[in-house]
Amino acid sequence: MLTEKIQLETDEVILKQVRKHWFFLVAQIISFVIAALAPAFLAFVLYTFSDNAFIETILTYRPHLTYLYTIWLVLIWMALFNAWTDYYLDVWTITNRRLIAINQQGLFRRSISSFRLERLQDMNVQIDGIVATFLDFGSIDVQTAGHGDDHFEAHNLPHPRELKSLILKATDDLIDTYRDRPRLSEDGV
Amino acid sequence: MDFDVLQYISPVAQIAFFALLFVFLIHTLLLSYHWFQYGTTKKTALTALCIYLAGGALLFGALAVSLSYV
Repeated sequence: MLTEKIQLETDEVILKQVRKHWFFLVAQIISFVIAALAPAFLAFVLYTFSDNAFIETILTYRPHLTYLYTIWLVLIWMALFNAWTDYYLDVWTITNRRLIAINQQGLFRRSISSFRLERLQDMNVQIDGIVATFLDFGSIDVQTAGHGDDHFEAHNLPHPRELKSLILKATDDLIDTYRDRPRLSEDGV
Repeated sequence: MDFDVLQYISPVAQIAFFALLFVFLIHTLLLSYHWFQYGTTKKTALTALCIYLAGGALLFGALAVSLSYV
């Protein structure tokens, strides 16, 4: 599982694992339900408002149409679980040492990036729109020190302000532990 | 020469059934690999697999029944 793959350092503990807000999963599920019901609804409308000749044609081919509709449902079932997998495997893991961002794009593309909390320089939270405000989700943009990939961004995370507080507190605690460590005296003895 | 399209529908429908079943099984393997390798808990992966297979079995059952009428 994922937690074994992360290979935590000694004294490193997972503080929180977050996924995108449930609103986006529910919105996708609703769109799949609509797609699943659309042919049945269309058939009902045609059956209700068409003339007798057309209805007779539909009834003649009813087994074939039922078969095609069931194939459509199987394809939607598979697409639904693809969408859930995408949601389930996109995860931000916050530990007391690092932030690990895993981004799953489809079944065959996956990016994993992480940075140590000491490198954290700046963090911005953005909540856009009425739905985001009421359901409390938004984007977090993290700037890190150092060369290379120094920019982290995640969209549609739930409770972004609480996440920001958690990350800042973990960073402060980590810096405090470095301060509290006994130092060598100036002559190195 | 008369060409009756209906006589070809049943074999094509049977081929489509087995092709879809094959795709579904490959898809199941791929999904379960991802869930068990990269998921956060084994319980969630197992629950998802059970729901996916149960729904799939139901749909393929319905597909097999409708195939017998084609």
